[in-house]
Amino acid sequence: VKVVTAIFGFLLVALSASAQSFQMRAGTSTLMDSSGASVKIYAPHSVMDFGVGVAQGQFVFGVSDSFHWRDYDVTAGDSQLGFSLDNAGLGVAIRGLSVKRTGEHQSFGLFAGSTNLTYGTPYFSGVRKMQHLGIGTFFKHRFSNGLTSSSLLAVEGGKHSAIESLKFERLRFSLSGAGGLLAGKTFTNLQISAHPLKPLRFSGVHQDLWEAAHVSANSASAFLNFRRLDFNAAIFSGRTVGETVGIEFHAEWIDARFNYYKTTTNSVNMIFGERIGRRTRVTETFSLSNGGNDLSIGGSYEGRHFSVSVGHQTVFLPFAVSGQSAFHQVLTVSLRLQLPHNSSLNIESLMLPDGKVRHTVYGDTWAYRNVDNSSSPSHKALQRYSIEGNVVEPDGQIVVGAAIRIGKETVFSDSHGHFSLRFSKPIAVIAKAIPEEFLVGTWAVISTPVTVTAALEESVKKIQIVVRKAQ
Amino acid sequence: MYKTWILAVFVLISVSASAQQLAPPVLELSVKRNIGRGAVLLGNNAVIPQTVTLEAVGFTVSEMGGASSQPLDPSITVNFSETSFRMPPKSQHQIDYDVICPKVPCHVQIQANFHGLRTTNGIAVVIRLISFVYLVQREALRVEDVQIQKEIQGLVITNRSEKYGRVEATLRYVDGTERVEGFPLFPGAIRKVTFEKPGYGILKFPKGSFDSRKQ
Repeated sequence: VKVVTAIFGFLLVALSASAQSFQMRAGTSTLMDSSGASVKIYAPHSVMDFGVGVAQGQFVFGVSDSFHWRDYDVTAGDSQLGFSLDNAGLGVAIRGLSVKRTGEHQSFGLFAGSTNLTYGTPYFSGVRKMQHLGIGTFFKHRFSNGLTSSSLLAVEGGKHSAIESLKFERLRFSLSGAGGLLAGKTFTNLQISAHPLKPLRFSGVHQDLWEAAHVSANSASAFLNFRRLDFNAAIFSGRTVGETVGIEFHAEWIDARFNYYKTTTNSVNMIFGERIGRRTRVTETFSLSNGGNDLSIGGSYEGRHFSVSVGHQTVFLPFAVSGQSAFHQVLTVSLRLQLPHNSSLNIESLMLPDGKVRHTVYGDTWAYRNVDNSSSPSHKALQRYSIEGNVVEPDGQIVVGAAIRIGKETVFSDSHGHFSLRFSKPIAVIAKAIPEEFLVGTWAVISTPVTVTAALEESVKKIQIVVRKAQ
Repeated sequence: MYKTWILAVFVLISVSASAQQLAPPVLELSVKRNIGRGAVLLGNNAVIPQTVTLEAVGFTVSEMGGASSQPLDPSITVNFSETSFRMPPKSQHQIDYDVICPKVPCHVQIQANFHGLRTTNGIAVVIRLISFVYLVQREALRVEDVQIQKEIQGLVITNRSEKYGRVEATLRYVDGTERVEGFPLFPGAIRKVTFEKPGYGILKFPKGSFDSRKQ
């Protein structure tokens, strides 16, 4: 009762806000043994997500509110956090508070709350079981000499993570190393990569992990692109030793992929895809291995009003019979119907190796409220004073869709990289680029003026903001 | 039972949505001096917010009527009340603008680029809508200002004046069908009107008209 009251409380607060779009999803699945529904609310300053359902006989719910506060991205409620530090990563599902800030040279993250077992489907997600209290922090700093330092400290239910990573990048070469405790297990890794020519790349990785015993793993790989052909090769050594060689061919109407895998057994995979017209694609997969040969044929049609695909997939079945592999090849049929009024219906069916058929059915629609449907549109008069400028990359290339905050307003650069904002008087305001709000891509600011003054049309001086693409 | 309810609720809840809008598609401003003041109305009928950038560019129209964009003539200035802004779902926004030309008539194209939700990778889809703006002299284009040549396939209209005018062409065919089209006629420009079938044409100018049967 408390949970339902809390969700309705959140919904009431959310619904009192103005100009909202609602994305609603509902569905049921005999494959995942669950049914549920969710509502995502896009408000002017935040995105709220509510999900509720029954999974394997257990009540599951999820609530979150994500918003921007000053320079921070804040999520209150349920969130899935992922921290990546050069070949090592930590994923945490948390019910609490997470805060993130991404700057030109520094990134910072902090989370605190209960760590959970989560449940996710295409139509709702939520927390199945709250496990432990967890707290953690992440910090990344990029130095001007090409060195990047990252740190992660986290405690989750008695499992400690403390990782430090250093990465050096210069021209066509990078070297990185990381080490520490990852969920209570000691590890180290070292990675080196080089691309002496644009279409040619080499990389090597060495990893050590101390669980009950010391485990060491090494890998080396190479990649070459020549016109429509991609070649790749890799060798692995660890608990098992393996080699792979592959070649891919891509053309407008046809593509082909050949892969050879050698571990304790040898296997060859060949995949051919043909495009028939703009909407239809047919694929043939040949698998040759010591256990036998297999041919599977699939196809898909992507239409304006419906899409359908039939094929064979290797899927992970978490509730497979003990002692048998959880990976099985199954026949899949999926259908997506585009309904009127921005709605869609999805039906997915799987035929399992034992002949049983499992279905997943879910729908998706949009609604809105408190939006401005009045006959009088919003309007701002033409003012005499203006601030104008351009956004460019260091080599002078224009940047389209760059977000610039001038005083309290946010403006965007047009297809010539130009932006402007008008004022009724010659006031001085703070102007800065906001990379996290750029319309496309990930960017970092190199130079931006601090204070600018609005001037008359004939005497306005254009300011210049320089940004670069961030990795 | 609850599964049925969930699906029933989904089926019952649906909303309408259509595309983005820019109006008017064509605006002719009759001006005394070389400044024209106008406004465009933008509409976001989508259920997601849109970020809009506005730009003014130049354009030319070929003899067959095809319009193609080109950089704005540096001697022409266009001032917008706002050049970029966010539009909430289902909202309308009006933008005022001034067009300052060295001489009248002149013309510009206003482009409104609608960007959807931001993306850090993949393809960013931009919807571009266009409004054509003409600054027109007070004195109307007369039929005497143009030279009209009859050809087997149609009519060739040559504007011998420094005036701009909009022409309405009605093409009537021998099988009883007709086609009506309107087009701008720029100072010194040539425009061809093609007959798809045997027939005749009537051209209406701001002052006067021309009937190809009487020539």
